[in-house]
Amino acid sequence: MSSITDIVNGKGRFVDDISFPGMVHIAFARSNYSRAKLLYVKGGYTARDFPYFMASAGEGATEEDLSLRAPVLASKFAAYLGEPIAAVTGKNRYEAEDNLDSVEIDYDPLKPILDPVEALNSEPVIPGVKTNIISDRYVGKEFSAGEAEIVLEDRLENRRVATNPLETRGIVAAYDGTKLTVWTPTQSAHSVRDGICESMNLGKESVRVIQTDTGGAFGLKGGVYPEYIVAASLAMKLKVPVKWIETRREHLMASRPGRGVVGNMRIHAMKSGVIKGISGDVIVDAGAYGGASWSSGWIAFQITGPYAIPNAYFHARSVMTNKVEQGPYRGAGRPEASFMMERMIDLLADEIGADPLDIRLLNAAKDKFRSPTGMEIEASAGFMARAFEKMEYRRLARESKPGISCFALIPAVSDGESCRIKVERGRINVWLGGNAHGQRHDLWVAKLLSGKFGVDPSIIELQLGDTDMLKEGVGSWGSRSAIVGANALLKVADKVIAHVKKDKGAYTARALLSGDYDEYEYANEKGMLISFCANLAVADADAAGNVRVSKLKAYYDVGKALVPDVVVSQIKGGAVQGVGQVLSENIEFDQDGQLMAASLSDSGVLNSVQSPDIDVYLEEVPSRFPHGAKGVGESPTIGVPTALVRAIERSAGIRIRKTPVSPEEIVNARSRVK
Amino acid sequence: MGSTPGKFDYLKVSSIRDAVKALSEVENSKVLAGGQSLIPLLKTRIMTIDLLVDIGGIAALDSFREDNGFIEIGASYKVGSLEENRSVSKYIPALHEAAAGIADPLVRNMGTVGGNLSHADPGNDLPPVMTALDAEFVISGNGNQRVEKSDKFFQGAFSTGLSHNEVLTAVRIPRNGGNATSAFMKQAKSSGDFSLASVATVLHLDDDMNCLSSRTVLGSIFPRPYLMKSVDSHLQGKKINTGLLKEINNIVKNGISVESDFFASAEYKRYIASYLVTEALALAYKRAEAGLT
Ligand SMILES: Cc1cc2nc3c(=O)[nH]c(=O)nc-3n(C[C@H](O)[C@H](O)[C@H](O)COP(=O)(O)OP(=O)(O)OC[C@H]3O[C@@H](n4cnc5c(N)ncnc54)[C@H](O)[C@@H]3O)c2cc1C
Repeated sequence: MSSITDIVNGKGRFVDDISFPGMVHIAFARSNYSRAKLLYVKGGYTARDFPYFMASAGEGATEEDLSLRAPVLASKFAAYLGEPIAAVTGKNRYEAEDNLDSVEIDYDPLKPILDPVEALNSEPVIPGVKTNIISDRYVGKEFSAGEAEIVLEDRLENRRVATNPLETRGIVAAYDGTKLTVWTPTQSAHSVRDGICESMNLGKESVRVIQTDTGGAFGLKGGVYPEYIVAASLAMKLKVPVKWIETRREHLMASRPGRGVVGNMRIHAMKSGVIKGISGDVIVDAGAYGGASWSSGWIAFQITGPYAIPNAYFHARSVMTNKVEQGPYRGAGRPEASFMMERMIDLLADEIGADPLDIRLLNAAKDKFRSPTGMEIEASAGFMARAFEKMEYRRLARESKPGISCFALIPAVSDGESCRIKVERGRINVWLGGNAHGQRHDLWVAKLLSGKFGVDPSIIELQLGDTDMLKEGVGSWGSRSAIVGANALLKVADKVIAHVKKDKGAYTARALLSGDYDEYEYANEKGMLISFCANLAVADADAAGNVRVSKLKAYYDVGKALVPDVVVSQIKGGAVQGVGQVLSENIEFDQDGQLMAASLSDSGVLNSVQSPDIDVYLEEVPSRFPHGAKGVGESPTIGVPTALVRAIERSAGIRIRKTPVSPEEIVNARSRVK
Repeated sequence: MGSTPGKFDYLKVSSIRDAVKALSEVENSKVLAGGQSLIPLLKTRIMTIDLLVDIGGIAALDSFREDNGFIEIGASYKVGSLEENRSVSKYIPALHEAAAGIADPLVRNMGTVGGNLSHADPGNDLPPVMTALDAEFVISGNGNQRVEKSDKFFQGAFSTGLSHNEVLTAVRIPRNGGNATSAFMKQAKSSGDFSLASVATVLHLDDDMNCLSSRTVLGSIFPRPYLMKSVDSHLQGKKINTGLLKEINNIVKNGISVESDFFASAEYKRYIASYLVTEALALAYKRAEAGLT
């Protein structure tokens, strides 16, 4: 991994910095329509050359159910705008893009179905299937409204958000006749390898995936994409190295964005504010094909969050639309779930005229609690009280109109992580199964390991992901790395120490560095590690509907903050994404199904001038793991949007049901209230 | 889906005559100024071009001249220079505000006054200001020079009175005499920074602070800058106060006919236009009262 100094000075080694003699560049001809029959495709490399399908068809799909598997290259039907149809190559990027003129595609455009609610009952958005619903589950337990004195309903929505890392997707692939080597920025070299192997039916030993310096990922770079399969196939077919670098327009159109969920929620409560139950529909805009069936049930599972709500019952469905497949975006279901819960709890507070904090404290878990969906949390009431005390909610509430939020973060601890430590010539190299993509895993690796080994941190180096250097690996996502990665790291360090003891009788740093050691372990992990977090925001909306965020605060239980600066930076960066989701980020289509965002700026990513600062308070209650850390990476994208939406709604005197909320929507809602 | 331009030739010229000649010789050619609008069009291959005529080497065009009757701004004068120009911020606050509100310092340091006007993007911010300032557009073509006013220069969205082989060389702003004041305000789209609506107003006041004359221009809402005569005639002879602004607000709201599009509903466009007009007038008037101009 390049040093931070090199990266800041423009000397990182990103995938687009890789160049080989004879390397060709790939460009893609993509569907100009959100839904169309393809009458013919001529020129370039097409599905006839590479008749592959993407690995996963999602839950419920059978092996034979090919209709739900996304083709690597569309041949008869285009299911979303920007779907790859043909690939061309050129000596450089200019030539490759010139050669796109050689591809001819004849379309028979059909009316696209872009709205997931419409898609529930509409004709199928792709051929060969009977329904657009790819996941349909009831989560929790049915209950009767019986004793509840108040039942409130609302329709809530998070529109889709592009992941938009500064570095887009990209790949370099080379084939030496026996082995395919792939360089790519990724959150998981192993998952890219497995995806390629599964699609192309290759043995794992014949593919090596090497991570390059990775300029952000946010969920985007967890897996494999059609373009990667094409690049791998072309490298093998042409026997020259190939490169594909995604443009921003391609990113906005055809990489997997996150969010995209509608919730029809019902909250059942007593006049006292005690919540008796929550129920409703969760409808996820899964996009085309069957890959994104995962999130509706996952959202429903965690809606009750940090509250002890005795009844919960949800109908969770993922529905195909004529858009690119949905993917995980920082938070991946957690922000959506929290949006549903927090919006409904604020609605209830307004209905009974209660203070939003009082009503949260009233419904917080006073003891260990197992939700009707099976989510187990510790007592949250004490945490909430401390959080809002520290963030000075009561004082701020007297002088302004703060919005608040509370949530329970569920990191993706399950399945654990792998680690390898290699000591050689006085230096220590480390590989982790979860690949850092900008979070500075290198700092906690050096800190924990130098402490454990009693050596200078400067001789410890975290390496980029590499499937040939590490047998197995899971990935870096779901707020998991410092939890399971550090756990694996410490386990392997113990192995190394034991080995040194066995060799030299006793462990000393000198004994360690004078020998050669190479240890590996896959530290499996089951169960959950839930932590509580809270946010506060103050904002005002002016007469034109423009929002100014004047205060953001976070109070998070992060367990032991392994490297406090890094934890704070994670929260600051995520807060900017949270604010962006509320104010401006969008990938919307016009009525003709054409995407209106063509650049980073169009898609509403905030720049530094537009980004508010956030005051961060850490509560460090150690976790059950030896390093004491809990999750943090996703927290700001969960808690900031909900608190900010509430602050805007209080300032503008309206009800907000959707992110993003535009100035126009604020003005319109205000004029309806008046 | 590209990010590189198709093939083109590139010529850097050092005189206006050479620029005109080169443009005349190649049919599918275009002036390249700061490139901040043109290059993105080429890179996305929305547009292809045979020849780019770079006028950045014509030193005389990167100029700012104050005369008795005029301020003359050369076409290659940078938006960033305009933002930092003290005469501009002192005497023509509307122009300073418009320049300072364009994109980010990177774009402003490359983008030119001439490019911003010649591109005639309805979302650009200098066209309404120049219209409100009643500026003259100085145009050089084959052996001749002509001067046009805004109503002839801006002809529609991305369309001007420039013929293919003509170059905009400068804009001349008549010097504000006596009690003149101005203001510019914009409402950006909810993402990015391009205007959804903008308003530039220039007021001339008598010694008692009554409006002698004014030019109030709506930008972005229509394909070209829209001079709101009904607003200006209503202002004539009056002091600006809350009551008058309420009337003006109604005049704008009821006086413009707009259509909904992807970015905003007709209702919000009317709302924001009338809001910006009253805010800009109030600001300009406040400036005059404070003797700032
Ligand atoms: C991210 C971003 C955000 C922006 N936001 C805004 C904004 O909010 N408000 C705003 O006003 N602008 C905005 N712009 C546009 C910016 O101001 C451009 O600089 C301007 O529109 C064009 O100026 P240029 O010098 O770059 O011209 P170029 O891009 O070089 O040229 C634009 C067009 O004008 C023609 N042309 C240029 N100069 C002449 C001339 N002297 N004679 C004849 N024809 C000429 C060219 O042939 C071309 O067709 C933004 C641009 C970017 C990239």
